[in-house]
Amino acid sequence: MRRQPFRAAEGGHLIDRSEPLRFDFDGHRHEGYRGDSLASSLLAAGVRIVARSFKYHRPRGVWGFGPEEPNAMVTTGVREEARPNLKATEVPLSEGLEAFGQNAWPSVSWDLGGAVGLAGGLMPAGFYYKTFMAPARWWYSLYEPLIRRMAGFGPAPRTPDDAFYAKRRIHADVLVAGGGPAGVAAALAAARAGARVVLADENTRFGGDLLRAPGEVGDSDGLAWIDTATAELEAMSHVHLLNRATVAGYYDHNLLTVAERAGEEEGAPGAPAMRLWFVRAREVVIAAGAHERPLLFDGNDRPGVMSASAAGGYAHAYGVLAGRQAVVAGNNDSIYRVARLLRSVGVSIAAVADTRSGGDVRDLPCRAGEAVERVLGSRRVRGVLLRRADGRAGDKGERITCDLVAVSGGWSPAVHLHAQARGSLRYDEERGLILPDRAGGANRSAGAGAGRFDLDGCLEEGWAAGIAAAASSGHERAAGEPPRSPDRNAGEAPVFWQTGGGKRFVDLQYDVTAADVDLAAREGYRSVEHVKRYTALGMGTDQGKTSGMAGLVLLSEALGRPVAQTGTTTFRPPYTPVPMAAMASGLLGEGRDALRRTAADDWHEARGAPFTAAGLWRRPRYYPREGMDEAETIDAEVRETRAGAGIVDVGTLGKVDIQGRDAAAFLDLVYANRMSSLKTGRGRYGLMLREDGRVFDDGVVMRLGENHFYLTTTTAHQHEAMQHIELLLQTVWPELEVYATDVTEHWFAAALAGPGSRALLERAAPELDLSDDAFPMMAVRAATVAGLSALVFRMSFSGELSYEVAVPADHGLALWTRLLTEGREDGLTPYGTEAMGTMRIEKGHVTHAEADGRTTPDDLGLGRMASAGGPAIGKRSLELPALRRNGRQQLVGLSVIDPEARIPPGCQVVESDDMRPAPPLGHVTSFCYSPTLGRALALALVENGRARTGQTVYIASPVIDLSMAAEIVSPVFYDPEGTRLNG
Amino acid sequence: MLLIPCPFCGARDETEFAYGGEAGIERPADPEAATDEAWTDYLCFHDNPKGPHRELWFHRDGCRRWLEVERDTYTHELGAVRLSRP
Amino acid sequence: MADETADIRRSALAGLDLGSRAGGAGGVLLAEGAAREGFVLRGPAGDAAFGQAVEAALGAALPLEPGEAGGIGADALLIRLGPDEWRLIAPLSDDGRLAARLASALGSGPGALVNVSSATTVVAVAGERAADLLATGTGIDLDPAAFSPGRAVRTRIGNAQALVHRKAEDAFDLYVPRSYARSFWEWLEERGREFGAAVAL
Repeated sequence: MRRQPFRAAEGGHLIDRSEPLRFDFDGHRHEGYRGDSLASSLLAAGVRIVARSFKYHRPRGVWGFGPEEPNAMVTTGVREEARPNLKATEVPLSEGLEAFGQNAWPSVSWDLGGAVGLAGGLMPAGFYYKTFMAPARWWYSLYEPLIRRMAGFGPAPRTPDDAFYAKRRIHADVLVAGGGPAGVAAALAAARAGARVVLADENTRFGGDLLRAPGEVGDSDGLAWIDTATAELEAMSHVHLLNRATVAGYYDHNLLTVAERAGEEEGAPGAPAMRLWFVRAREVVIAAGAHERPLLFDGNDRPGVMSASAAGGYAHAYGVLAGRQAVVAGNNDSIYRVARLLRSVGVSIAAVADTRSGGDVRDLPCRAGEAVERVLGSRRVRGVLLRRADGRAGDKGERITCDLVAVSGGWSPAVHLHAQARGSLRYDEERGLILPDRAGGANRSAGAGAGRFDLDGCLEEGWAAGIAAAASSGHERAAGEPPRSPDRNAGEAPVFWQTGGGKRFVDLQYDVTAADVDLAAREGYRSVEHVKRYTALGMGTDQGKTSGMAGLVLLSEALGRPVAQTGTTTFRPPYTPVPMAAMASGLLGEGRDALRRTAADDWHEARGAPFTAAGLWRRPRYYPREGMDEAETIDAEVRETRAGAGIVDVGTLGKVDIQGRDAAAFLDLVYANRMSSLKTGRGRYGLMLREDGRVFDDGVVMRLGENHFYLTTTTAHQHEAMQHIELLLQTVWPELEVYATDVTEHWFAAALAGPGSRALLERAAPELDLSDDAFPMMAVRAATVAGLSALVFRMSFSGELSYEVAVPADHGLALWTRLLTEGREDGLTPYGTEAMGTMRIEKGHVTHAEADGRTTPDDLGLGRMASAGGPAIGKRSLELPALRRNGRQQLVGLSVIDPEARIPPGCQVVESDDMRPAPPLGHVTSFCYSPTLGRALALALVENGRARTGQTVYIASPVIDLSMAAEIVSPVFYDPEGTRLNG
Repeated sequence: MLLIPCPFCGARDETEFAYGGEAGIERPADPEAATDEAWTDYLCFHDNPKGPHRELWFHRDGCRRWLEVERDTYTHELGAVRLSRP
Repeated sequence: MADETADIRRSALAGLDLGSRAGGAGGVLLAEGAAREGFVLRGPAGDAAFGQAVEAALGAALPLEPGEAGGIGADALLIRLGPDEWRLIAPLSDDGRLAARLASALGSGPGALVNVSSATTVVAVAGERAADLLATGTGIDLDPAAFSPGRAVRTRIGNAQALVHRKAEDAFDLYVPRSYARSFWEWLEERGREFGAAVAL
């Protein structure tokens, strides 16, 4: 047997016969040519059953030619290379390609699930909703596995996809979506006018419908004209041409995504599997073409029933015979063109059935006024029953033997992009077309996508759209004469959808029949959106490109109302499926959110510190020690710091430089407590409120000069605090002369803490007088520390005598290592965020766990700092009744009796231990084991907490059956008098 | 994704900006003198129209200015855009 | 006491060991640019005295076009980044002299000068595909007609904010925040695979 029995001896402008390619389909070896699609090569090989349908597992063949394909769903590759849910019409043939038909086990031609089809109407509309209702416990054990095996598409790959997916941004004056005659004319006109043009088309080459059927432009072959125009465009530096590239989504302000199947390009080794383009275009020309509609008749899903233009296309573009003997049936003139194309490659034409009464053409076996009533044959087409299209009684019809039924129900303009852009649609009753109406953005539709089906009309409209789009984007150079075509036959199709009864499929991919749509209407569904979801019509990967219009007409008929009143479902991007991997490309791991590292990060990493995330930063949690577990190590870091000296990386804190004549006055407005009274060289703890009175951020404000301040923010609020400050400066008090600069990135800082920190710093900064008189608490000095120019602040988060040393970040690692070297003999201990957190809980200092966006200064025991009223942000709100009422949750300490206790985060605080549901008094915000005090400590927000001091409450978590007694105490567990701050 | 014509930087992607709520809300000059009702009004009762809306956007990744943007909340069409503080 | 002769400056990219990554030849070269001094200059653009003070100190006019990068001598730049914000970039060898002159010229008048020399890491991207590589992660229009050589803008690229200085049609210096630099570099290298990006020292 010949290896390509259905390949004509010659013809096929897309294939290169000098390069045969071998491929496997469902384990059988076949052959095709370079340039073939998987669909065309399967047809050439005589493979007719390509997949099984979703619900009934009926055998299915190739229906279409491109992305509208509902049937021929395949998986290519195996294991980690597997790519499920591809349309065979869109998979280019390559040497050694392995492909598998979907929805069938063990194979598409012998499928056990197909038995479902024998049972007939087993799965009517709404099947899922009706069947899998109860009992619920059957869902996991029975229904779900059953559905997963029976339904669903190809299996998802189980291993990560390590192919490279690219992304690229491009700006254009004019994006032309679609490279058929209208699109190429538009691109040429706009480019000649001087506009920056991007032309994107889903096929391997431009030409659109001219790829499927010959046409004339000027006095030459249409494709030749396309090639000439393409060459001219290619030579222009302001034009970007994209083949194998589908304009998939149309988003706000003319941002469009284009999915380019870049990996398929020949001679592009290492090319990404896909490149997702983001095109920001001033103007868009939508020349997206049209999709051929099916006709509804019994068995219209059988392998061998095919879109007429696709059958013609396989003949013209690939030299492939989609059958030996064809019946061409339809309701418009295109069927005659298709019949002649089929005949030209050797298909014998058994009949051309035209539902209209006219249209008789002498060179073809025409059957005017006739339509297909039923397909004969179960696994594939063996013939058709033709009957009078007007359904006259007594007509028994006539059986005609054939193995191909090429059908055309007219054309549906691809209005998807127009509609995605929120353009409105109108229904042309006479022509049975849904057409673009008012544009929803800077775009215009042209050609078949706008309802112009003759070649001359497409060229004319495309050209005009290109000229207009270029002009709208400011380019009006003369573009010359528009191309013309003698083909002015518009090929209008009267509305005609269905014949007879039986299994007439509307949505081939999701197995939705005409009866299902009827049933949905009878069951009371009125909205087209509801019918879509109830029946699954149009929900497949083809998104109803072939089925949408038929479904709409059937529903309107069933409901007895005009199509225009039924309306369409919402068109949402993408137009064709785009792999998640392409969208996620560049956004995985640190690609989306950078990992921020301090200047000492390399040292932490070298010491093997595990890291914790703090916003985008990573911070060392602790420094592992030989022979000690995590808890022991953290305890040791705390003990050694409190007994001697410790050092911690605080480079992540936000830092802001404030300058200007009104700097002090401004800070009085930003902070709840006064800053203008600060003396130069001194600092103060500051509390920033939101305007609603809740604590927003806290930090230290240092006065470096009369009009110069340096302030810190929490690590988490670096950007928010700057944004807040700029908002106030630019919108509330624009008259103030203040300049705020984020200097977080410039400074590295380390805190030295513990009674030994003074002696250590004295040695590192010999010229600095560290006596309490010369350098009191909350003072700031410029000094040379460890040979580096630095700012030194005396402040404390740990509760110990403590100094923070800041240097430019380029010197950060030097400072860190030099201080550690300097402190070696003092036993200077580096400590991480765990020890830091333990020490701050021991001291009752708040972090975001307590200042959680709901708490006021008073809630946190900081009411006195914000006591005086004033114009500062948030102060007025503190006087509102809701913020002053009795019963607010207040910060307290919880002393847990059991020293071994561990409290998971999020526990509730309740009044009794009976574990009955009860409104909680509050919740635990922070917890630690205190090595200093030898017991477990917690901070909590508790209703009227301060008044409950001394009471016993219970820390409860019903989830883990925990109820633990605790005493409410002051949140300052350690050194409440603050004597240790002096060393 | 919106394209916001920053008066200083030119048209930039929405992702360079942070949203800041309704624009033009006047802060009471003397908060202490404001009644609870007037203050709460200022604080909480903002417009949320379907249609034209004046709002604040911070050009975080550009000129770091707060912009006043007229945006139709339904169509996303933008009207005048100006710097909050010229 | 500390060793005064040791090199105390450390790049944010030092941990990546770029030397081990160097080599290859492709459409884009990635390199760490020399460390530079950087100062944020703030002040009222419309104030004649401010403009004159800057010009007197630097010997170059205050750039007033958004994105304008005015040259100061051979190696220093003053870039207009916002209505009241400029960035002074000078080689380390200047040792703060330009900034000191600027600070004293501003005196007690309006304006502010803030040292941010350690705040950014310079990543140089050059080669015929340099603009294509940047276009994988930024929304700004990199067409030379829209972003001409010699200009500089602040924008977002990939996972970081960046000050982008277009030195030539196919050569960019990216000033990225120091703490983001390593992640940014790795993102850039990963995106650069498509263009055969090579690391230069």
